[in-house]
Amino acid sequence: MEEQNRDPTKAEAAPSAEPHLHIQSYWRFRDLLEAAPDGILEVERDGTIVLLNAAAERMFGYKREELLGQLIEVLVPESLRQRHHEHRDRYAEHPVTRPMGIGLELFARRKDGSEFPVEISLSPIRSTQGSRVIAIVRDITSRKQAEAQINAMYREFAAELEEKNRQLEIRNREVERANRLKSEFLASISHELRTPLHTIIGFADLLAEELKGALNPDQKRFVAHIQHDSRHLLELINDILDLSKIESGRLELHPEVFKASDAIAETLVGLRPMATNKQIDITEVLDPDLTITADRVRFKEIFYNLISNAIKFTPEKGHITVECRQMSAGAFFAVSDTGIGIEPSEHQAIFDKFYQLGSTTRGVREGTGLGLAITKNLVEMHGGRIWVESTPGQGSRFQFVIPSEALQVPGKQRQPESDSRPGPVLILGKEQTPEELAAILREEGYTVLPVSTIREIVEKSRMIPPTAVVVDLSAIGTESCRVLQDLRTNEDMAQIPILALATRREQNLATLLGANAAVRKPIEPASLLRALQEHVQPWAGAPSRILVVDDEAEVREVLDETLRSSGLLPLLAPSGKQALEMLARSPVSAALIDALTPEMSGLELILRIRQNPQYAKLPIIALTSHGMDEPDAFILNRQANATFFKAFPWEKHLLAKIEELIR
Amino acid sequence: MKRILVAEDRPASLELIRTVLESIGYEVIEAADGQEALEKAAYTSIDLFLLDLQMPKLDGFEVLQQLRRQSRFQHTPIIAITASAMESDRERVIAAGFTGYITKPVDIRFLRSEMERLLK
Repeated sequence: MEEQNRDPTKAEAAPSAEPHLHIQSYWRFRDLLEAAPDGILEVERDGTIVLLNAAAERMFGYKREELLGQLIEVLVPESLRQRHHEHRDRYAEHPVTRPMGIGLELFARRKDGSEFPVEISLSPIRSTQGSRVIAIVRDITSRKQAEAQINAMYREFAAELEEKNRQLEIRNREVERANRLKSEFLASISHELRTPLHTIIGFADLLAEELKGALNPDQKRFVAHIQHDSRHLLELINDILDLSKIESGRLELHPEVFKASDAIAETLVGLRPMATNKQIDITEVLDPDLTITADRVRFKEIFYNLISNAIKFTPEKGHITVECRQMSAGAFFAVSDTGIGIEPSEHQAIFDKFYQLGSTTRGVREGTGLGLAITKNLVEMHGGRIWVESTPGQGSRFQFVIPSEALQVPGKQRQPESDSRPGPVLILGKEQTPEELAAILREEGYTVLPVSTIREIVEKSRMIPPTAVVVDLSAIGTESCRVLQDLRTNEDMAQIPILALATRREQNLATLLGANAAVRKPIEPASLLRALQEHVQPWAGAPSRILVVDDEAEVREVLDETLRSSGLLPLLAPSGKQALEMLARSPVSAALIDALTPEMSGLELILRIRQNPQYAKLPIIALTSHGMDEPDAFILNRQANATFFKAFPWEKHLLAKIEELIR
Repeated sequence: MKRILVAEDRPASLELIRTVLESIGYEVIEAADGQEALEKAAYTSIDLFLLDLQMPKLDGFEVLQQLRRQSRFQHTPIIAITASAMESDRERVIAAGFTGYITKPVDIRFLRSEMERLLK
């Protein structure tokens, strides 16, 4: 009985010819049919069901014998039956194997009247009883559910993102408003403070002039104190106002083209009396031809701050040197003194607001603590950077560079985007911390901003378009992937290179996210840098990279400093082997090579570098000293673009030569 | 003797400026607000005005406008005194038609030399 029920050929006569063979293929056919996971039905031209399998029974909730002989329409939802009938007729006219109802959502009806989504494939077959159709029906309820779930999640996520964006925008507006209020408050408070100060300073000055009668020595001293401290208070108010203007972005630069030496000389006029009082002499080492584009007033303010600081912190009879000179990508400036100096631990902090040198000032405490913060801001507003080198007890050297193309004189054509300062590389790490990765990139002159969440990347990207985004895929969840994908679909950010740090398994995910490249973990600095260089556009103001090969640490250090002070980026290698590794990692603009490095001689190194077609024409400067074989020296001279004799005072000439060669 | 009208609502500031100007031999006419400045200017000949910008009744800008409308003050130096350090305010001062401005706190040596320069 059971056997009979499951007989798929029940409505048909059993095959008769060649009984043995037929019976065998009949059983195989039956087994196949019953094992299929999809519902399979065979239907006559008039719609009568003549065959179905166990899956179809389960799917529709009918027993086999209940369906056999019935019209196929019993399995179609009532509202669709009429149309199904018409479709069936049309199919009979063009019977080909195809999915049913392409692009439509199909539904089927169970015995209990419930409906469920299906996918149906139709195939015509020819049988002795005429043309029939095999319908393969797949219940796609769970797939539809999953799709709906995903869609719901996506909608939810999109709504969440929208909400976040909205909040962010509100917050931005609030920040803007708060900033504006702060500035207005400061402007008015400064007005209020200056008004009484005006009479305090004025009357103190009048008293000091002794117009209305002579003062005794004590009175004179008292008045001098009022004069001194009221002026200090004024300075403080001015600085606070300035800084607040800078910080709220309200300070506008008015760039013009001028000779740096003229502006510096003008600044010195006002400062010389202060220096003369302390018998400090000021030496000028100024390039008279150096022309810069900057806000002249603010440029003078930078020098005023640096030189007045130098005077303040230099004991009597000390020396101050003021320098300016051209370098490849801009202008270099320095103010050096023979003053009390600054502890290395304080080299960064002195540029902070209200920072005043602690123990080292030895009573010199008359600044506002804002001068260097303002100076740093002004330099950075000019696209430059400022730093200090100092030895406590010997003196300090404040240096800054201003790139030549950072500012535009009004009316002049704006430079294309690639010439502006590059944004930071946003980096999200996991196995290696963002800081570790950042260190690798910083060494190569990238500005790096480590972040800890993917949201941060999106938010930061909105503020400053980054140069590139580096993401460790292990650090982000699947939901975050959407955020990253959104980065891609955002017009402004579509061009930002995304580098994925991925294990072998995560490579697919990297592609899915639209990453420009995947760097295999564990990360080797070289491969990360190479990937970055491949995808990051070099910017016009990028410092030229100079390879320095010398086995003596001292020489490397001197060269490092010399090159850096000219705005070049030295890559230091103590041996030929490491030099070759560095070259393989990142291209350089020139190389300085010591002729006598151990293991691999400078000559050998140069020859090996030249073998690489990429470096066949690389400007190479050989550094020689005594004791070199003449034949070697001869070849060296031919292979290198220039040779420098180390024992000589060669720094300045060397720089000039490098500039000439890399230009 | 050259005559300078100083309009300033703060008595201490007024006294300071008067003392400085008198010390170099100018005659000073005092006004405690803009209204008084205009009234005093109506029946006195004035060689230079020093107007504080923030004053009750009429502020410095309004006084300037009314003075400039009178033909006899069309070419008289009118200097603004302001405690504002904002560049935008200074630009407004010049745009309004002041001859110049002096910021508070006033440097008394600068005040003297400016007056002497303008009244030469």
